[in-house]
Amino acid sequence: MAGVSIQNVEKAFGGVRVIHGIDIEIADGAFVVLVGPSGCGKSTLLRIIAGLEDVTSGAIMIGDTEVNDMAPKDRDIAMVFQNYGLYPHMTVAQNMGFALKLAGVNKAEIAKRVGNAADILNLDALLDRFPRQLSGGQRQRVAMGRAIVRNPQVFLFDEPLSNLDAKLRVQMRAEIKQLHQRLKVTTVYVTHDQIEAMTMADVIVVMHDGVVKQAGSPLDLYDTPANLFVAGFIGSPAMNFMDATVTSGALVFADGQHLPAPEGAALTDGQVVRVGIRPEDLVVADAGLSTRVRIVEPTGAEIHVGAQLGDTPVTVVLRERHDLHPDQTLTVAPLAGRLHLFDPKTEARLN
Amino acid sequence: MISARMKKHGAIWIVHALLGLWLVFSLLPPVMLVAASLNRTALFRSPLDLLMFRDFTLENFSQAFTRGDFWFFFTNSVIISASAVVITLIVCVPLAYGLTKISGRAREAVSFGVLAMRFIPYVVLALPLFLIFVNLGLSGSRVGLLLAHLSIHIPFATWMLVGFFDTVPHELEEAGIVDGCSPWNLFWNVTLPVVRSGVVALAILVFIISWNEYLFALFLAGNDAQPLTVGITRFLGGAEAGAEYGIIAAYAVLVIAPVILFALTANRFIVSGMTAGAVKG
Ligand SMILES: Nc1ncnc2c1ncn2[C@@H]1O[C@H](COP(=O)(O)OP(=O)(O)OP(=O)(O)O)[C@@H](O)[C@H]1O
Ligand SMILES: [Mg+2]
Repeated sequence: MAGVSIQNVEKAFGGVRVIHGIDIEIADGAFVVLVGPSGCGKSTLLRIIAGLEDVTSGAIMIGDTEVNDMAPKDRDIAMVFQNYGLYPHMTVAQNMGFALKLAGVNKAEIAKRVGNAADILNLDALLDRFPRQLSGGQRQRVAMGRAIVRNPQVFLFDEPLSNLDAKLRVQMRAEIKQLHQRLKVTTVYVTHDQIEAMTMADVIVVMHDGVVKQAGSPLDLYDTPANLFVAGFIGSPAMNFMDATVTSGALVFADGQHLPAPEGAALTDGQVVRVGIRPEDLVVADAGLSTRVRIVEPTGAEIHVGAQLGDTPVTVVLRERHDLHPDQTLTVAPLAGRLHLFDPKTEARLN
Repeated sequence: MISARMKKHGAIWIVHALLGLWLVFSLLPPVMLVAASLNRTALFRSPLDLLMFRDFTLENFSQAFTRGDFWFFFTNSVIISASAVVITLIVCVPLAYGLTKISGRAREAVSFGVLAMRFIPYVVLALPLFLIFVNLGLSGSRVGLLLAHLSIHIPFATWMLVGFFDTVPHELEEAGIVDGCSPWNLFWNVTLPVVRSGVVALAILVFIISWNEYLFALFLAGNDAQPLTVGITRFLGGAEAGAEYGIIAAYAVLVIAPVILFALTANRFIVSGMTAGAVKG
């Protein structure tokens, strides 16, 4: 096993730069999720690690070896593709053993290793089937089996669950996670689904337009997003943002309501800040911000309230049951220490 | 919508009647051909009359074999058609695969160039080819005729194959690359098997086109390279006897038998889609 080090990697297709200098250190055995909106360069970065694309500049290290000029097969990686990429004319067993066969491993050994992987993934009964005879989830498992069999240093996943229905996705998510806990192979996993990222990752790397916006543990990113992009991207429903002006230790919103400014932020009077509050960090209170309820969405476990603070839409997630109606006034207050302040210009975190 | 209407009994009945009519209509010529080949005389007789086999005979077939030099023409047809298939595949499969690997303008230019060859009517090609072959000493040889066939097959087959290869998803080859395939492995063990049924169907199509070809054969085959399609014309009206329809019919049955066999095989291959469910969920 080995870690992966991405050092100042840039990538351009023709004249178009899509990755602008990315540095990521991936520890040996870590489960790292690359997440970001469509087109931000996640797949490109993963394919660079795999060797399916070359870098324009920078270096990729796997373990202690620079692999920039190495063919994919020599990098000791295995990749699971979004559309599985199973060979349609081979059985499940042949699909899983193909890489070993190419590497010249003898038949008995191939059968043994395919058998082991099939055991782990519950594929024993399916070994003689062709991919077209499998369900989506089973195909996904075969694709994973194909990766496991090779016992690689690094697993690469490119949105492996996006073709599955919601329920199966949750189940496979857990299976992949368990697989990682069992095999402890360094894994780089690409998704644009932030829930997938939060639930699976040891480390999340949030990307946007070809740069890393923030890297850290899921809870780090959730608790202290480093910038507006990460704050808005991580968390569901998304964080509420409101502009406020700092006036003698208070944050004054456009409609005149105010909150005490949090400790530990270097703020100057008259400064405009963007205040971020997560919907689940707002609670019903006697004093605080009074909002007008627009829409009430009970989900069973919680109530999602779409409200308005002045002209700004605000989402509130309440765990207790309240009898709420549109157009009524709802007074909410943020939990202590849960305010996020950002500079609207630089988008950087202030507290 | 259609299926809802089909459920009505009357509609089904009409559809079946129409299909039956169509079947009779399309089967009549070949049935008559077979019937004519098995009667001593065929001229001026109605299909019904022919089907009664009142003067049943196998004589026409033996005449076709002996007087018609069947095996001579048959050998030419087989050699030319089979070589056409083999050479077309050897040339076009790599050519088409290569074309799908290059991108943008170069690909379009080559593809168009290849396809443009198809715009030319054969009959226009035949005369210049004849003149060229005379100069090269190829006229009247199987090689010459084969080359003429290839001038038709190669553009056609390349165009078809590019279409087949284009259906193979990138991910499949990328999976192959990651699994450790050399470029040759990738082509031979990953991509080609996926388009295999298409390639087989194409091979059969090429064979049938060559087998049925008449125009080039007429211009270019001379005496030694004539295929069956030319051979059959021997019985078209000798000076003394007039056309011998029974023998022509027997001959024709012998000519189309392999084609029908192949068409049935091709159908099976065309229908079986290998890629179904391979890559997507
Ligand atoms: N082969 C290519 N040639 C030119 N541009 C490309 C190529 N591959 C990707 N790009 C561009 O690079 C950018 C990043 O693409 P990439 O596929 O990495 O995005 P992504 O983050 O994986 O998005 P998604 O979530 O939609 O898969 C996109 O703007 C895309 O158009
Ligand atoms: Mg992608």
